[in-house]
Amino acid sequence: MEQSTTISVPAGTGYVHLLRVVIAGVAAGLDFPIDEIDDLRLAVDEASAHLLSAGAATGRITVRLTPNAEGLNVVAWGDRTDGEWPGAADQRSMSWYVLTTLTDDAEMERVDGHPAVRFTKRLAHREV
Amino acid sequence: MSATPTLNDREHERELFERLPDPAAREELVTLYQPLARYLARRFEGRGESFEDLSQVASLGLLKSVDRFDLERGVQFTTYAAATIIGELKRHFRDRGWAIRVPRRIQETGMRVSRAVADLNQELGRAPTVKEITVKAELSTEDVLEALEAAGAYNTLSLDAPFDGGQGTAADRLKEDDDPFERLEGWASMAPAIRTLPERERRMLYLRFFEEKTQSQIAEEMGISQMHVSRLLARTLRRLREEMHPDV
Repeated sequence: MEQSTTISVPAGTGYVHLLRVVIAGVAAGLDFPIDEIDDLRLAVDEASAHLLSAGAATGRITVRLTPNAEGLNVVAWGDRTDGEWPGAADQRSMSWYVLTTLTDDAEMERVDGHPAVRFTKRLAHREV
Repeated sequence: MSATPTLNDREHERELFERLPDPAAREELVTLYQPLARYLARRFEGRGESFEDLSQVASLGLLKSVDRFDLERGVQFTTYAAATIIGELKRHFRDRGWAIRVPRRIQETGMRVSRAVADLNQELGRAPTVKEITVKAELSTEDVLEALEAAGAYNTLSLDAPFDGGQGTAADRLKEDDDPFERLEGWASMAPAIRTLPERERRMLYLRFFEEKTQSQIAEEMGISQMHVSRLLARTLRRLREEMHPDV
């Protein structure tokens, strides 16, 4: 059974907080420390901003959260299939810089032809 | 507020009321009592509404009281106006009940959560997990998550809130480095926006994204709580993003 959670929201800044709430809930269930949960909330925020500002999402943003042995894998994609991705400026945008700093292995790719942002947040294993 | 009106003022006031609905008399009365409206608006500050909005509501109440005041009732206009204005302000808050109720409820859980976080930080030497906080604060997972979300979402903290601990060091470092933001790929275009940030926010960005410190480490270094760091960081990024992409 794949333990993934998928949420799809309208592509507007007014809906991004829903993504934050869901990612925080999933990360809490995985026992991420709260400062890393906060990194994830900011990261999903930035991923959405990135898709919105690149024009990759005009109708909906979909985010899939998949826990794995490493931690949490996140893929966020827009609804468009046309257009250049990633655009020349995308790698140097503020949201991309923030995203790569907050997460491990951030990448821009395509999911079923849709522009997508993928990142992983590793969960440090520690003795409890 | 103006001092108690003298007898002459009272007579003048009575005259003005008798001239109503003359627009000039109405305007003079409103101007005369504007300090009362502003004073009462001030009393309702700090509940999530701006003073400008409250002032407007109070002015509306003042207009109403001028129009409805009956000289023959034998009540002082000030008394009548104050009651009307306060009624208007209260109704305003009742209509926007969420604006006061939600933060107050969250503030309560928020306080328990931040206390638990501070204690656990000390005990564990790292940021706690949500589960650890629920046990310590005796709250549900939902409550804790909600409080954490609110910590990032509400901009209740004043930018000028006093800040002690390690003052100036970041500024010194930034000066030494000549603007590090300017030299870094991806941030160069933001340098002008970053320069307008308060020193504390600049330092936080520097520590988080250049020295790649965790929020907990920054909190310790700056002598503030991790939740405070989280809140300031979220707000700063939002502010920068708005400047870079005004429409997103």
